[in-house]
Amino acid sequence: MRRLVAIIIAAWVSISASAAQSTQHETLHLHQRPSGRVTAHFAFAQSVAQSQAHALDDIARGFGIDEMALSFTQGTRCDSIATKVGCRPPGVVLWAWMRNNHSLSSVDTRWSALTNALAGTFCASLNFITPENSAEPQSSFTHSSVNSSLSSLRYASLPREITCTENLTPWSKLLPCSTKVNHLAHIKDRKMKPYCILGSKAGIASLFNAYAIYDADYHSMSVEVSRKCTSDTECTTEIRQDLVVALDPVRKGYQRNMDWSLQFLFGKEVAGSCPLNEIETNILVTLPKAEGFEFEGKVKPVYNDEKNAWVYSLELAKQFSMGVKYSDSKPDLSEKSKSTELIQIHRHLTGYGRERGGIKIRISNRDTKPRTVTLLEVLPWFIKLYMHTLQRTTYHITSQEVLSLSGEVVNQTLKYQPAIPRIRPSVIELTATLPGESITVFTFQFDRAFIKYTEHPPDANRGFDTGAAILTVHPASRTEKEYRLFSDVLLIALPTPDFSMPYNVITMSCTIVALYFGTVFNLIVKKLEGLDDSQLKKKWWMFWVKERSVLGKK
Amino acid sequence: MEVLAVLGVVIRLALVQRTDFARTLDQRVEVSTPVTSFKRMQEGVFLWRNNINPYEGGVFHQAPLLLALFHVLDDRMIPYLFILLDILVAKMLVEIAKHRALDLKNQTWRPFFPSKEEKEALLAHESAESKTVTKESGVKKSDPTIPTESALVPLFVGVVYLLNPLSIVTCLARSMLVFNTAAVVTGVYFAVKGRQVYSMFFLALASYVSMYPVMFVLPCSMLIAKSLKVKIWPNIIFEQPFSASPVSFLLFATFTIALLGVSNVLMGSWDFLESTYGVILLVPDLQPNTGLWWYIFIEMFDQFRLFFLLVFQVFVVAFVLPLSLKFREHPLFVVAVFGIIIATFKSYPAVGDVAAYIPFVFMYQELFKYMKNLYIITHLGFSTCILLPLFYNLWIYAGSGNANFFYAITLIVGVAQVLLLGDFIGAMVRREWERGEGYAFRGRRIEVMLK
Repeated sequence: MRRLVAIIIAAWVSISASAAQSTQHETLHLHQRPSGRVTAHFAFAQSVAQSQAHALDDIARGFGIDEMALSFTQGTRCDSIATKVGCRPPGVVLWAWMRNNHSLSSVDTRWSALTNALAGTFCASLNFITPENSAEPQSSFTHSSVNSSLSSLRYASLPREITCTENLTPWSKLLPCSTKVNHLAHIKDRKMKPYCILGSKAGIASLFNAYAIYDADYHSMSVEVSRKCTSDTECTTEIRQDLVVALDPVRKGYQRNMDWSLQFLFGKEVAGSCPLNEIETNILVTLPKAEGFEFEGKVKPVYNDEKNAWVYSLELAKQFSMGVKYSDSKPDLSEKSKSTELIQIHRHLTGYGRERGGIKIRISNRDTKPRTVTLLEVLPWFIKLYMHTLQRTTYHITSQEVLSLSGEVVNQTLKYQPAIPRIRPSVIELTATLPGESITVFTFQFDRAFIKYTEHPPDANRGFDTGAAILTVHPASRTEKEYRLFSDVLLIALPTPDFSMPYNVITMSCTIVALYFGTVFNLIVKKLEGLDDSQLKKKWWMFWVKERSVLGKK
Repeated sequence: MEVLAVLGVVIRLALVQRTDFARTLDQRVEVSTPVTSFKRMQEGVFLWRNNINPYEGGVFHQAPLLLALFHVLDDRMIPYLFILLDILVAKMLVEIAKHRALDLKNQTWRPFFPSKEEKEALLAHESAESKTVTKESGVKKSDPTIPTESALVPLFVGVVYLLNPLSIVTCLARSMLVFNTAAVVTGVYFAVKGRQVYSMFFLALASYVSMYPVMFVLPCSMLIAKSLKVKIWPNIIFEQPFSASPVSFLLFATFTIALLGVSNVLMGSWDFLESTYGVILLVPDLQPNTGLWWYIFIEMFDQFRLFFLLVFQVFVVAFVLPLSLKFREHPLFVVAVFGIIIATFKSYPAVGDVAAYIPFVFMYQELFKYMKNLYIITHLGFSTCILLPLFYNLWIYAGSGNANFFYAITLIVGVAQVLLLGDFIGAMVRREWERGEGYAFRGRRIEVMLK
């Protein structure tokens, strides 16, 4: 929050100082937990003014976007304490507020154009976002800065999209300090280190080593774009890029201890700060212990009480490396990943077999006050929901006693948009008040549709991933901000046909139809006639048939 | 016999207390289909009560008037309503069977005198005035070649329906098919009684619920014509002011339009057409059932989908006119045959469709002795009843089988029903032939050829 304010102020200052300059900001926060896991959060912020060029600014301007968020995530072992941007569900999540009146085309047309443009920008299969999996949530993603009467929201997720280097490379090109150092060298400093000139990034982005990042337990790469206009012509686009990587030095090292260094975690060092103006490059380190460790490296950090972290300020074109060595480096593995979050969501499937099923969503509220939340479920059309089976049970968090709901707590609104096969998904938005210190369980049933054999993915028996449910926690007071939680992704196996059968089935089924047609047609058209002796003459092979007395010709 | 009928009702009443049993049955694909499932009806009612258009989504595909009915009905009453409908169906079937028994009694056989001289005389007579002889009536009770029929016991037909496990499970699963069966049977009942307006109203209702009963309009108008002793179709326009079929068609169309109009007023739009009849016609929901459609349209190549949809739908109605013309003397038989055709070839068949036509087949029990494959058909019927749920479980739950297991059994269901259809029509053709033209071959094991 504080950082955001700082950025905004900085942006404002920069705009007022010189409109032609963009403001940048980059921070790396390394947060180690007692278990030894280090969550590295790379945060980049920039503000692009009207006169400047940036790929994302182009997209935002071209498609009339007020606000947009896109994330690529993989892995589930996200540490919610160490991550300030929150944990995101696996795959791709995209939502955008788009202005209703735009000279070019309707919101839906622009939404599909946007997904295609982003697909090109990030080298990802975002073009698989179609009306079939896009939703228009009504009460989730509400944001104070966007006027919902002038803009429309679109949301989609691709839970199966795998993120890799091919997405990281275009993403890092959008960074404020993405330009290759050798390109900037003549402007700033002609005495760059040779390997910098060979083409790595400057600033904290020089730590991006695909081998290290994609070896992590969890990594999430995101872009948030918001566009604000002070007048019709004066608009700035603020771009925030975050990369969260959960690394485990205990797992990585042979000694199985908590000691780590940048070189050890990323296999690289920081190539100095970003050689552009108005840049502040900081590295923050939060450690699980208050003492019993020492920092390695030439530069020593300063402890910042406010940020609760050790702070390094990077200098231009100066190789930077650091590390932490503990006197007792045994990790405290007994520490459970106990979340301090007040509200938690967990979702799982119920039932067995490939025909019917149910979804159970468990939301716990550890707060003493009642909280209002909105649950958003976007489920594909082949999950046929039975909303009349929606049930809610609320019980106390410790005593497990079922609470009878009364008063303001009982209000619960359901907005439900049924799915249309092959056209749109089902969208459930359930706004409910959770009593203080309670667990609320929602359940509902569904049928798995039998779909055409061409609609199955190549590995049909693996099943379909369905996007995470999103829990929007509405602010309890004015000082608080609305925030979102993501549930687990579900893997739903649909009944599969035999994929090698098309010809056989057509042949066999049509045989029955032909049998029916032939039989009935014969019986209708032909007449009966008794056979006379000559026609009934015993054939040579009918030796076992007795001679029969036959009446003569009729 | 009465005891058995009561037993059928008692079984229903006893099992209806077990709500979990009903729920399990409702979830069986053999019993309830996307267009008849009670769970989907509940979902539709839920959506409607929450001001969401139930026809917008891909779950609810049932008629608006049924939706309104279940919206109004109290939940505790619903299972008893289905039992009541089943009793009503059985009652109507008994009434139809009474009519049929009378019809059977009055059937005339061309006399046949077994002595050689007489036969020769008859043949000579026949060659002299070839066709007039067949018109000759008057049954000689002593004629030994006329088969002695065991009389049709009307109540037995009702018992066949009430004690049929297939109709019991359909009733307990609260499948909307019961409404369809009830409307069709009531329509046929009124047709037999010659009540044209009522008959057409109930047929319109049945077609409104599930579309395919529209096929019954022609045989029912023939039944009406037979019972009112008027012509089916006017020979020359205005020659005869009243003939059954045009009036029936007009009434049927009026009632259908009225029902659709009421539905439109109720729902406020025509959206329901696409979600009810559109689903029956275009088969977008490929949930397995006992029919042939689901697997072929799961496996169908996209570019041929429309073609095969058309072919399959055309085959259902292809024989409406030919069969009605061929058996114009026996409209009730045509009803039975259409029942079999619909149960085999409709887009979402279930075991309830089989349960609906079996009593009609039993009304023609005199044909059984002409049927060659009855033994095989019966056995196929029993074995598929066991294998359908078994193989479905292997595929969906155990995972030790695949879709082909279940598909193979639905194929056998198809084969069995086509065999029954062929045998049933063949038996009727043979019997009719023996009654008239083929009198000389009566009661003998003789080779007969179709030419």
